[in-house]
Amino acid sequence: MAKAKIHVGLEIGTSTTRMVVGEVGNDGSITILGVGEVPSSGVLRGEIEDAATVIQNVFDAWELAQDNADVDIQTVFLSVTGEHICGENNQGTFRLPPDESIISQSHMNEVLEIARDISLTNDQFVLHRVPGLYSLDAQQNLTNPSGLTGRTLDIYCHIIHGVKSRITNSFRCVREVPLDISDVVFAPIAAAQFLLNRHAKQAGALLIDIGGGTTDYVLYVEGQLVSSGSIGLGGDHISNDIALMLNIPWEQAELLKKMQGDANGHRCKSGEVVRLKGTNGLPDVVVERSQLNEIIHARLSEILNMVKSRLPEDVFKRRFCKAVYLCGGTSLMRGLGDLALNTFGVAINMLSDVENSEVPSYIEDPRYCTTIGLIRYAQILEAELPAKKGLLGKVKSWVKRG
Amino acid sequence: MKNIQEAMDAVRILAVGGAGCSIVEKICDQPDWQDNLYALNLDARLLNRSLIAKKIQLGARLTRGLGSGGNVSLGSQAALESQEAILRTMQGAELVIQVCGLGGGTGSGVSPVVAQLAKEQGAFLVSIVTCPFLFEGEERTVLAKETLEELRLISDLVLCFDNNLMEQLIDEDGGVLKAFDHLNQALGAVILSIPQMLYSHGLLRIGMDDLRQLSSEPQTVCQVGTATVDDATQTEEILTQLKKTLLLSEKSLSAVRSCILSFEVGSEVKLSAIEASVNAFRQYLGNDASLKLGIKVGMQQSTALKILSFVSVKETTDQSMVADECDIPEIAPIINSPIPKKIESIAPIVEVNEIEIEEAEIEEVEECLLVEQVEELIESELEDSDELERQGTNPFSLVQSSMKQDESQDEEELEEISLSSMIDSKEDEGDHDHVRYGQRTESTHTLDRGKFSSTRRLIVDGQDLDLPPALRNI
Repeated sequence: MAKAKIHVGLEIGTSTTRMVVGEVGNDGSITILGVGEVPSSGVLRGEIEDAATVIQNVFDAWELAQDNADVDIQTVFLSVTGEHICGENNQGTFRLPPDESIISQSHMNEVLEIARDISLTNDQFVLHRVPGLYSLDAQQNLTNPSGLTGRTLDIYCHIIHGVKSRITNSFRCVREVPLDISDVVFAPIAAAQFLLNRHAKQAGALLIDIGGGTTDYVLYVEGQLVSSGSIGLGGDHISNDIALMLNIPWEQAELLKKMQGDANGHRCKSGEVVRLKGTNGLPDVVVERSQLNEIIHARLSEILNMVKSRLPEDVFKRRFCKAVYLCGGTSLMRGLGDLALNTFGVAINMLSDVENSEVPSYIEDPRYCTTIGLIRYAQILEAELPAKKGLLGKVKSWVKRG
Repeated sequence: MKNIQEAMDAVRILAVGGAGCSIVEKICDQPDWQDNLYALNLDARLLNRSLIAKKIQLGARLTRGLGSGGNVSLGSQAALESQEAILRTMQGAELVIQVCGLGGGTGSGVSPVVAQLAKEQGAFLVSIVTCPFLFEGEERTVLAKETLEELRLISDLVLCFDNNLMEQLIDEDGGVLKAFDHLNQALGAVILSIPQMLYSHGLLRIGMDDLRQLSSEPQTVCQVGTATVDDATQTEEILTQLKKTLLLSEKSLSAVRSCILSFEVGSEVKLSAIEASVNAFRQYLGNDASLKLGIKVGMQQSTALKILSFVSVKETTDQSMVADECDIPEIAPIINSPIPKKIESIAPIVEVNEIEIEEAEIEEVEECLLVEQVEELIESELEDSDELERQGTNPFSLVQSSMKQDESQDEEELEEISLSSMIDSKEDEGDHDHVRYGQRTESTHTLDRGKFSSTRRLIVDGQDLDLPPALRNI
């Protein structure tokens, strides 16, 4: 009987540093044991700008998580993001030797090796290599062509890479705490493990994680990862836009955005006015609702359109992608669903609004998708690794060898 | 203090793409400069034929010696592939001048990369670019404009030469070859004069700091003009040459915000001659324009005089010409006629007022007076409209009016409208500097970027994405 496993996910976000401790039960279910959460500073657009502050933040989150979950944390799964990270597809083609015509495992390994081998400059660091499905002489989408007859074997491999120095910065900050890193995961890949099940990936799904400083996306078509990337725009830009356009302090802009903002620019009465009471000596802010909404609408529709423009062109036209999943803190913005529907024209899936659920639940909060996804990622990774043998098993194998 | 030769060694002139190379080739014969000239191109055939001694082939692996075929991303990929080689040319450089023609794959693709690398090296970067002729197609014009915006964000100084406006420099009787030759010659002279002006000692010095100051003025474009005469007392001739090479119409001359005049004179030239030409030039500028002077003595010919002038011009007038350039026939008269049509229609009123002035005088003075009068008229009109606006009790009247307009228009248009209305309102306001919601307007160079003011810019397609969509230069 296997023991329940505890995994820890750490996300150093632009607005919040989060550490989530989750227990993976024997049945595969995840229970959140505790969360350590502190507001971030020293992070801009998902990239670390001030190492000392970030280390302090991670340390605080770590202590909080240990207290809340009542466990010792030594290793974490780390998610990274930043607009320097991008994904590209690389095709590997292998032509069978003339005297062979049946595909064997070694041929499959060979072609995968070719597809994985992408020429990158020295400053790039490869985060993920996700192999897709094989195709054999233009017969596409074969999971396991072994034993089939054919001439040429192809495979696409999706490779996600980023600038080495910036990813190393994240490593360093975590190791200074000191914590060990089990694995490093591109943030939306982690979120996808949690939000998208196999059927969703098979049907075609686009996951957009709109955070504070970056917007990350992954696109699955027919179960394969075909596109991924990150845009250096997020919720902070909305607040900044409001602050700049209305000429008010950043803090008030942030409050206005959260309390009154609506991404649907036209959904308000004409002449309706929003008031925000000034605190700490700041003056009151009075602004027309249509203007506020228009600012938010302009920025968010820009973000969504930028994501759309980076995807393969015919994805939505030819119904390759059946649904869009939104997560991340900014996905809590009112009216984002309608805006996304207008932009993409497919079904929009969002986690329910936190304020409405009676019991606060991390699972239903879009802000926790990435960190919970990290735990799911750890779980999957563990399942793929050969199971560690218990004491009895070790003795058995020792006897066998002997 | 470095001597001049050392300073000159720290200058690199990079010719990017076919257009850049053919311009720089014009200064190849200068013995002092040969070591500092580099040709950068994707096309191996063109590169081999180039007269420039130092050649860098970009993206040799990517395109195998072919050109970019108008593909911008191919151009920038090639530049990235060869960035080591580009960096090597810039080692120890203090001043990098890149010369390129925008609108093509190589010019538009490579030049932003080169600019980025040069700034990373800490060099003062001057980008000298030419914009394509209108007849080359709208696509190239749009592309050129995008790249230009991008370069302006990165470079310390961008000198843009619009081929369309350069038509006035061309001798109409000459052939195609002669026309291009003439343009390239003019540009070559500008390129050479910049480091010469910056690094030589003079009586009154002009340095990089002055140039940076000039180019950092909000909402302006920088233009450059030259004039050379054998006799310094020929003030008229100097002015004509300057005005011709500055590529400005009379109207935009009055929109000049600030100006740098750098004189290089022979030892015999009298101060009064310089003073005369400065004063004459100042007359053409607007009242609020500032002028900075640099003087250097040291030409062979003792009475000769050479002027290099940089002016920063308020962008709105110039921009509107570039923005609507799809329509050639409409623009042509604006460029060619010294006074816009509007003024002619008001002219009779002015004549009635000035009836006492003798006719002979009017002929001379009329034009100036007309311009002034009309400007006054326009200003008073603007003030009126501004006052009307101020009388309205609702502080959102401006925003509302722009919102109402949009009902029948799509979103993109709305952004443009609100942007332009904001800019207009700012101009109308003039001195009164009261803050109203949604009315900040400055150019991207100085615009407060709020939380992102201290960070690296996020530039995609020539737009600074940190700025609210409505405030960008669209």
